Amino acid sequence: MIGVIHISISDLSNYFMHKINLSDQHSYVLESIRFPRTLGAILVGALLSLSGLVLQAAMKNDLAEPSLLGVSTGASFSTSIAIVLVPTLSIPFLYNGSPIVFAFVGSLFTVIILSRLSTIGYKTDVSQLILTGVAINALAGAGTGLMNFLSDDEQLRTISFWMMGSLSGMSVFKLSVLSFTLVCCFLFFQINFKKLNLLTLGENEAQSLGMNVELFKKKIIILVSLAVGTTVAFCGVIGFVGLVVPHVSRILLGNDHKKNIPATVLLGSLLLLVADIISRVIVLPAELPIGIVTAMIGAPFFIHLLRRNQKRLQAC
Amino acid sequence: MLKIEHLSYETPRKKILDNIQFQIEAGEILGIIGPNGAGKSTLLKLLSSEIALQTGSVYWQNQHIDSIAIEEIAQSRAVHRQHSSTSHNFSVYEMVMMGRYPHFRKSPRPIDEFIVEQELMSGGIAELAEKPFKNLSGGEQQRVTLSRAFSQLREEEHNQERKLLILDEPLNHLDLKHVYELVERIKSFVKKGHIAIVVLHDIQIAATISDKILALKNGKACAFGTPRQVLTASFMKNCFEVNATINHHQNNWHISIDHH
Repeated sequence: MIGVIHISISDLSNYFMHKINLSDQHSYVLESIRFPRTLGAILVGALLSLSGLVLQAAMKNDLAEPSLLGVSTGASFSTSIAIVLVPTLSIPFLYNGSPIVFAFVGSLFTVIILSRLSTIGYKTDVSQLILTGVAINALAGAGTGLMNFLSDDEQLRTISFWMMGSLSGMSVFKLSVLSFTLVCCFLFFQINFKKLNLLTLGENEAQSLGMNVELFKKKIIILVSLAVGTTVAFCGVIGFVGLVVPHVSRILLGNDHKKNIPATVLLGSLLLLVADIISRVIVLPAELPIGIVTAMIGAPFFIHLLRRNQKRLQAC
Repeated sequence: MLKIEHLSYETPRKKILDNIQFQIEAGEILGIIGPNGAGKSTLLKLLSSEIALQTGSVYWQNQHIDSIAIEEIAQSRAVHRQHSSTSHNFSVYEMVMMGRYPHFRKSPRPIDEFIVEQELMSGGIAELAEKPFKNLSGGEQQRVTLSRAFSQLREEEHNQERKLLILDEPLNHLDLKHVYELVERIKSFVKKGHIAIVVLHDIQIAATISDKILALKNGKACAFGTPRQVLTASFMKNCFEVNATINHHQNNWHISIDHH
């Protein structure tokens, strides 16, 4: 299969059928690196896309996306605190679990600030939302820079590697957390698809149509923060997936979240899986940061879809 | 029955509503009129639970409105606002179907689909069903959101409970034909024993369609009663500060403003 170490497809299928035993090296590569990484790409792609879809409905804005609005940057700033400052406290338990907890708190804090500052009266103000995202990105970026400055050589390497966005180093623990988060988010949003549809009408209309808006928004904030927090803590900031995939899904299937939630999960998984494969083979034996690949695949495709959509709308 | 008792509302700077009281019986249309800044919109926001009650009470079917769950009241109260938009370009059918959301859990039942199709026809928008909402003209969008409100309150055979329809300036953007059709639609709605509350700037239409009229000025109710009781030349002078000549024959009203 694809990667620095070549494993042929026939070897792989025989391995799955228990017909042959692969060499120790090949077994290790498959079981400890490639399978976890493939599963990681599927889970992270699904979580980022679903977060983008939900934020776009909740913020009533097509541009809402975890990295664009500063949610990912907020999570990455707090993760860098976990890497640089928490070890100085010499509490082993806190050190082991801190990146994911800090990333969750960072993204939760950012989503709450976004939600509060971008709401004027009962409406989300677009320019206020974008400017708040810009401000959070700048502030959290500066904070991460400060953490880089304060870090020692080993910490700096850890931060730099993690910030580039990578799906390597997936462990059973990480995959379990990501799977659990995805199952929770997917089930909750799929059950509540009507509420996501209603939120696109604005909060007053949604309430008139039977929705407890405040309660639902609180649940969204917690789940999106959990989704973005876990992906950032384990894989760094991977942009563009949360923006492009929901748009592609809407253009292909319409606006109803009943169809869009499963479609977004599938398309997001697929996009990140393809992006990860490309990132591993395009500059062999090195590896390209996956964020570059997602942007290179996503942006032209996105522009193409926007053009097609523009023509379709003009024809109506 | 809708009963409003001692309703007042104020912001830190201004008293917007001051001790409003009235009662509307089943099968009646209440027209709310008044000059700009009279408090009409705030009253509608209170009646539609968009803002929380400060002083006074609102009773719907003898229950305090705050004691009814949001999900429950949405089955018997619909609100049509002046401006309605969506960030996602839903089709006309999907927009009207949202009016049925309070009535089903996961997927629309056959009765919901039937009601939506009926309301699309009643609103004259059946041929637009698959069109994206944002691509419609202002008048067409208005007919879509009105159809959504009517579909929300459409009664089912086993459920004959009273409904409350709140409309804020529903005639905006509508041409003459559709104004007439909407008036007929509201009248046939209340004939089934429901209640409609309509904020209107056109006093002639308010006089024609309303069973009761509530006139607001500076946050106070300056008149409440049947159109014949309320709409007099002296009322027009006091409330709107215009000299008007009012003629009516049966339910045909003609109100002209004297420019001298």
